Amino acid sequence: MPRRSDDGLAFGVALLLHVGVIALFSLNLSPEERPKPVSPPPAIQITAVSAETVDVQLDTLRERTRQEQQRREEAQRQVEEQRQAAIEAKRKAEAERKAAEVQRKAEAEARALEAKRKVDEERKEAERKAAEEAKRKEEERKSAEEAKRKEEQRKSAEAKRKEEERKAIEAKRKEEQRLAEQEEQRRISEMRAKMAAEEQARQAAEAATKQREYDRRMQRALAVYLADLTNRITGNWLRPPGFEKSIRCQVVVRQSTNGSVLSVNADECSRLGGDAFARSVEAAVRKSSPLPLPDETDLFDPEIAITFTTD
Amino acid sequence: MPNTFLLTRLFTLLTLFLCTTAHARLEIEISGGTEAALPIAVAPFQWQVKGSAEEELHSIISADLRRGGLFRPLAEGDLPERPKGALAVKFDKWRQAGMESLVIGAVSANTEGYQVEFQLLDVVSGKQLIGYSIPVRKDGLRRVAHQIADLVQERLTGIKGAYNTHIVYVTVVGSNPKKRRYRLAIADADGYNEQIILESREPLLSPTWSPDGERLAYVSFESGRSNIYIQSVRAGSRRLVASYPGINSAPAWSPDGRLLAMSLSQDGNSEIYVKDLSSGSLMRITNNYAIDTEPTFSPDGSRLYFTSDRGGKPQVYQVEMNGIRAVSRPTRVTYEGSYNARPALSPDGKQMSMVQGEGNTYRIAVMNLDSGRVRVLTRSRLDESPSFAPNGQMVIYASEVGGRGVLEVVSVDGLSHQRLRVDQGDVREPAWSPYIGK
Repeated sequence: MPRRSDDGLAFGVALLLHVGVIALFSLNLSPEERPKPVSPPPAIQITAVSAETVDVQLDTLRERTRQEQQRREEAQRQVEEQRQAAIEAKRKAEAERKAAEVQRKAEAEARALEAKRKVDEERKEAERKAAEEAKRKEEERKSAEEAKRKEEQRKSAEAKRKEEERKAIEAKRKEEQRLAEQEEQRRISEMRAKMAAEEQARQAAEAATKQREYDRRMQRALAVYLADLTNRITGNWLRPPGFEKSIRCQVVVRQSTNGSVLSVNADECSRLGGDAFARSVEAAVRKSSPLPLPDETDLFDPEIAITFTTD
Repeated sequence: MPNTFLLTRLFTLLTLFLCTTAHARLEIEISGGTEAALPIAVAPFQWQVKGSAEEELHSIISADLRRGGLFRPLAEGDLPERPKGALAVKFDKWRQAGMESLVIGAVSANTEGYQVEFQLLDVVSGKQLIGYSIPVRKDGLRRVAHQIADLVQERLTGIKGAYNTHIVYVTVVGSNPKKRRYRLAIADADGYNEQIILESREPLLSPTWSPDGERLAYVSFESGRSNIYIQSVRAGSRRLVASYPGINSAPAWSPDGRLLAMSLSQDGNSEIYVKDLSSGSLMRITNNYAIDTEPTFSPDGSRLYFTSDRGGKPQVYQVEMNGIRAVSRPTRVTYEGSYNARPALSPDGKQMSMVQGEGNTYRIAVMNLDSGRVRVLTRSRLDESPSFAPNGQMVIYASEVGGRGVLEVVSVDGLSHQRLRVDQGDVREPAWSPYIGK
């Protein structure tokens, strides 16, 4: 039982101490270092009990204990007072020693605690600060990230938008280009067709001109050639005089490329005009050998049909 | 493109040539030509007999061909070579000389006389046209030459030659009228080989050959008046066929030789009669106050042409005949010129020669009976008595040079004139013989 009283006292002391610690603690809670309003209360909940409440409770408690103790103390006080006084003295000494001890201890403890607390606090503070810093940093990071993300998003969106815009523009441009190209293509093909038609027409005209020129040249050359042949042979045709018959007959003359007369077939003239007449036309041809050649080699013919007529 | 071009070209040529035949070839037409004398050369014949050449055959042939007017023989001095045989002929040389034909030949001896070989070469083609080897008596060289000329001409012109024919004519010899002689003479167509078949102190006129060339009819004044005789050329025998009162003149044989047309003045003025030589019957053809004379038969005997001045001036008329009878009234043939007389028909009956007078000049003219076109062939002052060669190519006529009659031959185209060499005298009244013995 005495223990209990001891315990109770101890308890009270402890309580007091604790309260004090707590109070101290709590007192230390509001130092100048105020939490920065930048961040809301952390997730860790500290139950702060006001000192008044604690005092009230303690007063109540103390009243009841005092009254009790008064009665018991009163009862015992005599007996006890001696013993008490001894014990007290002893205890007192003890208590004092103990208290001193305790106090020392407590003080040490408290100092340690305080140190520790301080360390802790500092650590915690540091941690907090670090956490805060980290958090801030994280937040900053996040924020930055977010911002970055958003920026990126924005940028992406912007880029996307721009890309789309660009794409749209590009598409539009491409479409325009395509249309332009198509148009150009159409224009080119039209132009080509026109040019081709013109070229064709030009070529046709040129060909026609060439053909006309060729024809003219050939006609002229042929006329000259035929006249040459006719003149040469006519000049060499000594028709038998006194020949009264009206004859028209053809001889076929073969000539070499240099105009040399290779053969003269005067059978028809022989049949129609007699041997003498045939001889005269054959002689006319042979005396004309080599026959005149055409200016245009195209006109050369290895075989010439010559009609002789007395009219 | 080139193909089209070529095709077009060919087409153009085809069109240009106006080619009627399927075979495309050059065709030209030579019309007319030069109807000129043909260039020909006659090289001297090689005389392969002992002694010097008796006749210059190439000269005779050249002269014949030149006289005929169809040839222009190269002068002997212009001959580029004197080839010994056909193989030695250098045709180029002859061609360069402008020749178309060349005659070469040789005369060698045979038992009866000579053997005359000749070749006609076409120098243009280098071929032989004809070649003959002809045996002949010693006195026949000139005749062979004429035959060669005939053959050459016929081969080269288609016209039968008339060089180996004869002429008959009258020569008057002696300027003193008392010593004057009239001679009826026959000669080769070139005037050589004259033979007198009749001589008379009185005029001889109008000799004319029978169609067979065997007889001659002529007018002789030997009895003091004009009579018509027929004399055999070979035998020399003759008979009097017309001695009617008045003038008996201008005998003309019918183509069959059975009738003799003549001009008689027994009825007062000259009229045309036809006498049947076998029966002696005489048929009067004309009956007109004008002078009708100089009858001549057409070659087919269906017409009788004659000279009449019934229109005022002498002109040629014709009457259609059926045998000895006239079956139509006379119609006038000549209108061009104021004087047309002495008609003679060409052997083909298409041309008529006549004497055309203009003022004091008389020239030989030929009238184409189809077209009526008249061509004057001569240009002397007194040309008369035209007579066609039997090939119709030449006309012989009498002309006058320095008051002396000469014979000339003109080609029917009027281009070639040649005077015949006659030995002597004043020559007139020529008549060309028909082809004899064919």
